[in-house]
Amino acid sequence: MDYIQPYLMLSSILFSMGIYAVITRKNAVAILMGIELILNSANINFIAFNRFGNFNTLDGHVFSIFVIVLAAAEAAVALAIIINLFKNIGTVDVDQAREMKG
Amino acid sequence: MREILQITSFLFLPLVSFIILIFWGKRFKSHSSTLALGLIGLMVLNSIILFIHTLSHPHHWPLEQSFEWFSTGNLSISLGYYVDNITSIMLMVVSLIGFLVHLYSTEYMKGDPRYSRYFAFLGIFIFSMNGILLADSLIMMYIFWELVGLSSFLLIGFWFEKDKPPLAANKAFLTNRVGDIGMFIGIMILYFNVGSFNINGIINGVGAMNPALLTVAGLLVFMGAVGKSAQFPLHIWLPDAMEGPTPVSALIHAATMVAAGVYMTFRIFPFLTPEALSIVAIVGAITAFGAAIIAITRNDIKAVLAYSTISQLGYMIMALGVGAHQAALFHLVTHAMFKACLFLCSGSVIHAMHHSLHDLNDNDTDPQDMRNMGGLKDKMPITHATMLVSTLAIAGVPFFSGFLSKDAILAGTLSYHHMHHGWTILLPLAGFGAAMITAFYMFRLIFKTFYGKPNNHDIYKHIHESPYVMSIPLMVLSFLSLAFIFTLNLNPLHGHGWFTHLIGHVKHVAGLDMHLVEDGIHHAHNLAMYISLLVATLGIVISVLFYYLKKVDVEKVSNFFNIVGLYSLSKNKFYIEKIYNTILYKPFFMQTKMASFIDWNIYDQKIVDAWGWITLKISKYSAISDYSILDQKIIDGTSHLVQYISSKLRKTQSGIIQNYLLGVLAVLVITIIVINQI
Repeated sequence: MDYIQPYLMLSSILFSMGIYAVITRKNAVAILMGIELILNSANINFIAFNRFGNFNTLDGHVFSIFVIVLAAAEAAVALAIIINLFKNIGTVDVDQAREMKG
Repeated sequence: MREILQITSFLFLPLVSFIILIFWGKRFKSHSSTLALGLIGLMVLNSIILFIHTLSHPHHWPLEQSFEWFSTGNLSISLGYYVDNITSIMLMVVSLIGFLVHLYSTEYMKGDPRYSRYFAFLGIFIFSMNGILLADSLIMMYIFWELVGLSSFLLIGFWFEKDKPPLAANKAFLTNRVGDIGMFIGIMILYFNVGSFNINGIINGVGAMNPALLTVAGLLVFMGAVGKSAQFPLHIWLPDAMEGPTPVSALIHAATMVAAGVYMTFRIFPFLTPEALSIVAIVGAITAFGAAIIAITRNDIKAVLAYSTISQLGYMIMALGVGAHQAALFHLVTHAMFKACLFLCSGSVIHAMHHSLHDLNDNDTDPQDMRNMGGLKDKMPITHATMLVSTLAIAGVPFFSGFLSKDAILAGTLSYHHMHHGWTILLPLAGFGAAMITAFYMFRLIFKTFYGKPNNHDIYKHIHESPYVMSIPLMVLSFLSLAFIFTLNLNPLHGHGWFTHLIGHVKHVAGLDMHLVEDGIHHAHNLAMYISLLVATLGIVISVLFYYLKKVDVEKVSNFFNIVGLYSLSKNKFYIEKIYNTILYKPFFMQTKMASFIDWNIYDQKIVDAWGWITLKISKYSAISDYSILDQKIIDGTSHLVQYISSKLRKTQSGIIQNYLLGVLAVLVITIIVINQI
């Protein structure tokens, strides 16, 4: 398996699934899960390009570890926001949170 | 130093009285008269001391002192005093009458709400009058001259709540101004030709002056006297000035201030040219005779005395005009005494009438009208006696002072006629005529007021003699109206005494030979005396027939005289005020009305208001364009546009995050495609 294409395909599928989830899901927690999928697709890309890009360094790995750490932080913050959202409007349905409607 | 102090105290004492009473008078209340009396009393003592000094040390005189007041460039003005025998006499007269009037006023003005201010005004009057007497230069005399005018104004208008006094005060002030302007021009002509304001300096310096110019200058300065001494044609203010309190009329408008004009003319007499003097004499003669005729038909007791004053002042001016300067000053002093007495007597009568009317609650009857009096002799014996004495004095009866001085004046006019002949016969005729009329109307006043039956019994019942504070000045003044005082000689026909001796002689520098004049007067003396005795007797007899015995019907006589218009001429004061009204006031008011018409109807209503109209129209259209076009269309249009666009755009803000995200993705995809295409 010395070809990059399968990796990129996997990451594309993951990314598309994430985007789909983010756009279509009404539940805020599900949207958060979609975002995690998008982040992981990016991680696969980092690793894949590092492996097939003839780099002698481990930059891609380091980046993906950073992303994982960031994803953890982001999940914490996002969950806190969601809890507050629930406290304020009594649901986690993002369609109900339309305070910013012009 | 002692001398300067003594002289200047004549100015400071009344000035102190004025300053204290005008600023702190309210605190003194009824004691303000005590203070004023004290200070003026000191001044009387001072004047007596000065007078004794005059008599005992004749070689010390005159006293002169002068210091520079200010100088700018070539002009240097100095203030100073010049005191000779005449000043000394005049100071005593003013102080004495001033003191008696103060004393009299304490009773007469009792209960007046501005009691202290009245005495303050009397103070400033005496201050300024003394200033005129002491002045050694014409400019200083002019300053005090105006101050006298001011204090006269203040005192005439003292009862300013009434209608007439303020008008009378204005009239007096403005009429005096006419004369004062002439006086000022005259002083300036003299200064620029002689180079001095000092009277003695001018007398010594006029020799080099052009006689015609000197005549004009002298007459201009004399104009001041015409105004102040109420000579024809500026006499109209004096009868109106009687609106002031009666003691004021006695002090200012009879005895002292009006005499200031005569005093001033006496001072400038040495440099009045014979031509100027002849005009002075004519003015005096017209005044003496005209005012006497007007006085016959007056019914107001004070108006009779006012016209009598004008007439007597005319005598003095006429005396100066014919060169009889001694007689002029003599008459000035005797007149001051008996006229002050007459006025204070009339004040006493008015006071009594006023109180009587007050008891009757009658506010409509005029307390000064002689037709409401009559028979007061028994009710007011002191007033009657003193008034009779002073009337005898003014009528020119022997043993009384007026006889001597008037006789001297008439001698002067006779001698003037002897020297010049021709038209000058009019001067003695006017003099003797006025003397007869004076005797007539003064006795008319006495008979109508004190004799006969009371015209109104209600008033008569409530009449009382005035208190002693008022009658003592009357007694003193009537005593001083005796001829004996002025001659110290029991022979009533002998006019030369210490007084004429004290006045002495005057050196004339403008072409009049004083020796000739004095000789002429000396020779005319006896003739004048007999004629004046005759006319005075005639006047008194006619008056007795008319008003005491009532043998002649006054109505018939006045109707007889009215055939040639004489009665109404006198009744209407020779129409002088009407003539002034027609030729001066009416054109002036016409002019002001014209100016007011142009100013208001044309300038204001047409031009100024037209500008307003134009501005109004322009601003109306400007407002329309501003509001309808700029505001409504352009400014509001912009905002409407913005509102419309934003109302459309705000629909994109759904509030659903996923929509936004979809938009972001779409833009990203489009961007990538576009980038790849490039």
